[in-house]
Formats: sequence, C-alpha cells, structure tokens
Amino acid sequence: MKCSPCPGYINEVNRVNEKIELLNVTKTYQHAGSLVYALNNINLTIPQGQFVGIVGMNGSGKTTLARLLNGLILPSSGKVLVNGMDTTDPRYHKDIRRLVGMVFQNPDNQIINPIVEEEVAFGVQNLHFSAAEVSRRVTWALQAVGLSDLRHHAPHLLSGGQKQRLAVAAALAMCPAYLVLDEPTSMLDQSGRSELILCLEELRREHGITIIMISHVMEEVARADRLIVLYQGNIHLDGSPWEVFSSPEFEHIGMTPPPIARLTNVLIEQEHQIDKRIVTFEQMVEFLCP
Amino acid sequence: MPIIETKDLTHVYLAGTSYEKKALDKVSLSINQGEFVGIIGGNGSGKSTLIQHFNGLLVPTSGSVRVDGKDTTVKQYRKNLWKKVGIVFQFPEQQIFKSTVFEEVAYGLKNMGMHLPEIKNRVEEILVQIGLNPGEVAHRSPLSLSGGTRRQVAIASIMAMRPAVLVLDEPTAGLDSSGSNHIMQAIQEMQRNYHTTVVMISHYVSQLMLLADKLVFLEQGRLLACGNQEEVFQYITSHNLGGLILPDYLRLMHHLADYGYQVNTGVSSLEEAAREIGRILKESFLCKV
Repeated sequence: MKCSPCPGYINEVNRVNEKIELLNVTKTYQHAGSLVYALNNINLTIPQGQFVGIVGMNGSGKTTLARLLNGLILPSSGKVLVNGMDTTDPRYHKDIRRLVGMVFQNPDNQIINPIVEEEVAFGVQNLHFSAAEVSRRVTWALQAVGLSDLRHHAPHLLSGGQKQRLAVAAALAMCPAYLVLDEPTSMLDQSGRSELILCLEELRREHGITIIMISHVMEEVARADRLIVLYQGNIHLDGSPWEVFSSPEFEHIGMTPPPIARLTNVLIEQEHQIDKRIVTFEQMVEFLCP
Repeated sequence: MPIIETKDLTHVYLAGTSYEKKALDKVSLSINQGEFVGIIGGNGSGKSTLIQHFNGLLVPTSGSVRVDGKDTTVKQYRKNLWKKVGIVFQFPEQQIFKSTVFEEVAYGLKNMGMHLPEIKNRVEEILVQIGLNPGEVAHRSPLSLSGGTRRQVAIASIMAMRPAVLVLDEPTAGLDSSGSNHIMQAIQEMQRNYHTTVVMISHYVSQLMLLADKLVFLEQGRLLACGNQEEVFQYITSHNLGGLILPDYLRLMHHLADYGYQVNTGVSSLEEAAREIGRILKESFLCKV
C-alpha cells in the first residue's frame, strides 16, 4: 500500500521545535467519595516525528493519557503543551484538535455518516476547504488505508476491521501532525493489522507525522521507535522496544514481550550469537536470512 | 449427536438490493457437545454471521441450522434458544446497561426465573471465576470500572446462565494479558465443570492453538477447512494463506524453510522454535569457523 503525501500538509509541519510536552501532569477522578489517580505526576516529551508505542495493563492510565494529548480531557494539575499551546486555553482548542488526530478503540463510536466518503470528508468540510481539496484529501486518505474500493459504501455494512480503517482515514484527512491511536487494531485480522502499521510507518517516514499508538499487541509496538510502559498511573519504563522487552521489570509487572522478543531472550540465555535488539518478525528474518 | 449442525448454510444480507452481500456460502459443519471449536478467518470472512445462526438471531437464507437436533427456523424453539446458547459479542462491555455489576450479571438469571438467594450465589461464583472480587465490584457501577474489567463483567453475565453452548466473538481483543488470561481460564473451567461446548472466534490463532479441539477456517463466506490443527494448518500453508493467520513461530519456520534451512515447520511453542533456531545459529557458526 502506498501512502501519498497529504496535500497541503508539509508546509505546516516543517516548523522547528514541535513536540507534545506533559509537565507534572496528574489526572484524578472521583470514585465513591475518594480520589483515584489515573495519572500521577507524569513528565513526558514526544518530539515531532517519533513512532511511540504506549502499553500497560488495563487501568494503567493509557486511555487517560491519550485523551489528554488533544485536550479532550484536561489535567487535574500540571500542563499539557502541544507545540507550545496549553490544552487548558480555549483559544487553542481548535488548533490543537486539528494538529492531534484521534482514533479510538471502537470505530462504531466515532463513525457518524451514512457513506464512507462522507465520513472521511466530514472533518475537512468543517475546516471550509474547497470541494476539490476535500475530494483530494478523501481520495488520499482512503487510499492510505486501502478502502478506495468501498468509497461509496455504507459504513455499517463494513466488517469490523474495515470500519477501523475508516476511522483512521477520517483522522488522516485532517492532515494531523500527531496521530493518537487508542488500540486501532484490536479488531483487525493479521493482514489488516500489518497493512495499517505499514501505512502508519510510512506516514511517519515520508511526512513526519508523529504516531502515538496505544496497544496490547506487543508485535505492533515492537516496531515503534520508543516504547512507554504505564503502570498504576506512572511511567514505569521508557526506551527502545528491545530495551523495554528485555528489562526484567517488564515481566515483573505482568506484561509479556512479543513472541520474537521472547525467542531472542531465550536464545541469548542459551548463549547463542544473536543480536539482542531483534524484536520483530522482519528483524529476525533479516538476521537469519541475510 | 452433534449439538450444532449446519447444512449448506447460506446467508445473504439485504437480498435484492444493490448492497446484497453473500456472507455465508453453503457452510456445512457439526459441533459436538463439550468440544472447543475455534473459528478463524480474515475480516469479512463471515465468522460473526455464522455464530449468530447458532442461537437463532439470524436464520438461514437457505440451508439449515440444527441446535440440539431441532431446526432454528421453528419460531417457538428459536425464542427460547438464548437459554441454551449464550453469545458474547465483540466488545460486550458496550451492552452493559444495569447500574451495578450485580444487577448486570443477575439480569439473565432473573429472566430465567431463578430466585434471589440462588442468583446471589451464582453471581458471586461467576465473578470469582472470571477473576474479580465480588465484595469489591458487585455494588459498583460498571461505568466506574476500567474497560478490561467491564469486559470481564459482560462475559460473566453470559457465563452465569451456564449455557450448554458458549459462543464468544473475539473475547480478548484489546485486553491486556492478565485480563485475557482470567477470561480464558474461566472459559476452560466452565468447559471442564459443565461439559460446556465452546465456540470461539479469535484473531489470535496462537491462543486457539492451545485450546481448540477443532478449527474452522472461513474465507469470504466459505468453509475452506475444518478439522484438527494439523489438518487446518496444512491446508492454510499448502494454499499459501499462511501470512494471514499463522502465529509468529510457525510463520517464521515456514519462512526459514523457504529460505533453505532444514527446520521443523510444525513447531507450536517458544521452546521448540528456540531449539530450531539455536540449531541454525550453531550450524552457521560452525560454517564460519
């Protein structure tokens, strides 16, 4: 699948010093009269252009973190800055939401239009672009997720995986600088999954779009540049995937590395000559079949 | 006698419109009491449509479905089938509608006419089984729970009714390993204790490999292979569909074999895969020396 450039996008992102910053961010919820810390004093910088995976057990604060990134929810204390813009300042909400695209766990909750292409066009139309520009972006976004053939179909007739790709396309059409995906592949089959990941990787490589992806599928986040592990509202580990997967702490908090990383770890324990950084299928194949 | 039997089951959505879509095409299969059956196939292959025939939510466009020997097109029979065949849909946590965990899990039991003391016992038992602490969660609002815990509650509310057939559509998608382990253990326990028939759709083929007695492989509405693991994987690899659904270790072995290494392409565990690759590494090291 080939992702072509998002029209009108490049000029907007080539500014320097672009990043999302979380400064001492705490998010609390009231539950049964007591205070629950969903996130506890998080400090985090995500520079433009990274592919960041976020993992952690259910309830560790991943979704809360994702929703803070575009101001859907606001920190109880601390600051979230998107390219320097504070998410608590209503003047910036429009810019922040355009810059930070969101794709949620379940596409049924975010698809609202009766026709696939209308769903993708919806956000762009609200930005008052010309019809030609809207159509160009829709064409590109649908192509990027491999749904061009279903352009005129009804979303509710798509399969679960196709719907999820539609939700990604709708976010892509806005040409975001950051794409935050909350388990975008949990309903995709393996081919749909790798198609989507390849596309996300290409969006990052070719156009510098920052990919921030929450996932429970370790095979997917193994391909990220950086892996952040949340545990009980704190950042427990933060490093490259192989560092995280080989850390005893990772399994200690109940996480399981992806199959290939486990294979590498076992082979290293058995003192075989193997590159300890191998965590993905492709890396293993490349190592064994050069 | 099989508990579920389909014969030339065909299902067409929106027949006669321009959106007409054949979701199932002459699917014939049988599932025996107490069996654990895994259904695999890509998105849009007809998996979810198939299972909705098992408790009469859908009826065949042509062909037939018999549950416990009776045809599901008989309306009176179909109406009561929910007690016999429990379906856990994708993202079941979204169907939760009661204001406490207890009421949610008790709902189906009340509809079955069970009395309160018995319901209480049953709810407590199933919550423990699914990995939750009844004292902690029973009185809470489902909305105050994390997504994974809500999923556990939703699955518990079906399992509480102890259906003869438990059908689950991607029960662990989007769950962390602890949540999905709890759910899988509870399912196995139920199968063992009550001889429950389990039908499970999953994209995680490696998960099914460990548990399923029988695998059913669907593609574009057609049943392409049905049988034990070896038979189904044999079919999948010989038809070059491996990239789609084979688990990583198996896929790696096939890749290495294609590259010219002498490896066992039937591995299913980490240890076996490590042994094969360890051997390759040793051999290629010897060659270099």
